[in-house]
Amino acid sequence: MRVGQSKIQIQWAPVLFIIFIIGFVTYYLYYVRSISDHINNIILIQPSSILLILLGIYVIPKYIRFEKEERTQVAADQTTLEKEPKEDNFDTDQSSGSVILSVVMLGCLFLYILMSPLIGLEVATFLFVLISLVLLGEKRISILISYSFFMAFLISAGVHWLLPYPVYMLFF
Amino acid sequence: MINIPELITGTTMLFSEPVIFFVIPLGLVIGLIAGAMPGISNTMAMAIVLPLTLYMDFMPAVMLLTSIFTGAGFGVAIPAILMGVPGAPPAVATTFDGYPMAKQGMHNEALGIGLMSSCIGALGSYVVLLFLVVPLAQAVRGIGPVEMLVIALWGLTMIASLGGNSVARGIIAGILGLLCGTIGMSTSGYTRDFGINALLDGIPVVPAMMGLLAASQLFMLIGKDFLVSDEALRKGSTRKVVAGMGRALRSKKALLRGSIIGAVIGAVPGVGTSISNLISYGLQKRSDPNATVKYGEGNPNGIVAGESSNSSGEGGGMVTMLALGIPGGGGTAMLLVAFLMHNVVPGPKLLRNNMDLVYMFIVGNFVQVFLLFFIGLLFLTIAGNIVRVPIRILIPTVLVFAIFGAFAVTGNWVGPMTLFVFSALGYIMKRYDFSVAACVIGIILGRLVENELIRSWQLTRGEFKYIIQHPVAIVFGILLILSLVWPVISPVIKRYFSLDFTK
Repeated sequence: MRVGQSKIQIQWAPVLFIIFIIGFVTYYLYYVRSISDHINNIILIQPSSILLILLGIYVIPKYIRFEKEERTQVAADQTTLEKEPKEDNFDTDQSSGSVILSVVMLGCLFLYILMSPLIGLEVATFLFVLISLVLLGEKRISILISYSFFMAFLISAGVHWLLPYPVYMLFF
Repeated sequence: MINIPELITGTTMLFSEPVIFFVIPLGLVIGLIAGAMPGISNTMAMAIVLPLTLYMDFMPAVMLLTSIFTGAGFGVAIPAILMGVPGAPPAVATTFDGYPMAKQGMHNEALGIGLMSSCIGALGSYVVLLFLVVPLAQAVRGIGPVEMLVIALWGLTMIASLGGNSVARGIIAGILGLLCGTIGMSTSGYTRDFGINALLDGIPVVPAMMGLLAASQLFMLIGKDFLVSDEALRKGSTRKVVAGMGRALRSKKALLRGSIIGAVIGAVPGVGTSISNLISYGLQKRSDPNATVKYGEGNPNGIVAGESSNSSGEGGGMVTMLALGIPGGGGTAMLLVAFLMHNVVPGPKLLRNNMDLVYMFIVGNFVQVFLLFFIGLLFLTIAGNIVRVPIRILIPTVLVFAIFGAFAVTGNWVGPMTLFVFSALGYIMKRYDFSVAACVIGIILGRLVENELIRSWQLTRGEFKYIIQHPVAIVFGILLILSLVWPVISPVIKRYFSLDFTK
């Protein structure tokens, strides 16, 4: 975005995330107050929510960078928005391919949880482990089959020996 | 303070039963395995074994259960260090520095530090129990909502120091967690469940914690081959575990502070080890601002602080159980049941009439801690090899176990679904440098802070004089304020005294 001689760069992803948090907390505060505005109900939630909203508004501008057009990119990087060092480069520096794979894995996890009560925990475990191994780069078919089966067996055994709750299983 | 003849009688009773040398190692191994499996808590392991103890004599039965309790107390540190998965809230602080150490290939040393700190912490708390069981129990009786609130707020101060590069983002994450912790029906009867019945009891803490800290961490590992890049550093090594144990012994202040905090806070029913490890870690971090290795990036003292306090909380929890008959948590509740099953009723009468039984119990725990030292060492040499497992195998394996653990905690699919939601939230937070640890602390303490705030408000109506009448609250309040301002005032004090000295 360009304003006069300045160029505005916005890191949209973290900004949207903070806006999402502020939106959720605002809704939660409204929801809690709609139940009752008695002090017992809002004693912690109201001041905490207001503090979070104010902090969110304070943090958002840190993701907006103003750049003068004539500046070189290197100089701009040094002088504009404080570029905060990452907490842990190992964790935060993921390639875009790995990010996509992470999102796909999250999707698989969601399906695993969703399907387990329908197709049986052991079958869902077998499929989840198999698909995850394939996605994460395991190519040996013997490992794919045997390890997925082993995990399904282990979970079935755990359910039978450790859990006092009923869990739907298709075979075991 | 200590009744020597009763102590001798109790010790003689204990060692007259050679079966304890079978049941204690067995219990420790069961506890270590249960603790090392995220979600399978010591309570669950004890509940499974409890029916078997009905057919045993009182002493072996109690020794078996307490050794499971002791083993699991340390066992939760194993996944916390190796995978960043805290199996239970007391292990949260251990992940802060344990997991970064594991990523640097120092997993053996980190495990050794954890084991030694746990052993010393537990030992320290039982020494406290041996001498101070009666006065400590009397002090616990004086703890009310205001005192509980101050303790909870003390734990909450950790949020500000966990922000990493941005305190503001750390506090945002902490408050978000705090608000998530208030979802569900409050003690005042207000239902804040968004119309979803599953949320009536609130967000399940353990699955949320596992999702935020563990699953999100695993997704961040996608794209790597191994947890530790250097092949030479991946090996499990008993020598390095022993070296780590030696390293823990050098952190005398952290050990002592952690053990005292654990024993005192651990004695508070319902609060216990969930907060003591955070308070101990927070104090350690604030008292060492110029550490060579930053806290949160693999400082061994961080593990010492967390592990010594959560293990010493074990002895603290026994105080209220033995002296007042009040179980402070799930594990002590199981022990209470075992006592009652054998017609032994814990409480003031037990202390008055059967002090030999109490001493037998305490000495039995000394034996457990001593044996944990060796059994834990063997166990860790095997467990340390987890870092040799390729990431592509580790991720689905840990996720499946996490789902199983989340199901085990709630008994329905709400647990796994919570784990999923918080995994996604944790992943986004990690990507954009928001502190997931601060969020976890918020979730753990949210409900507690709200409850105690309401009770304190109802009692005091905001009048300060009520607090003045409660010395325990004042002591905790002073400690809280001191812990916050200590990093600021300690250099001034040091400078002042050094100036005086040179004069």
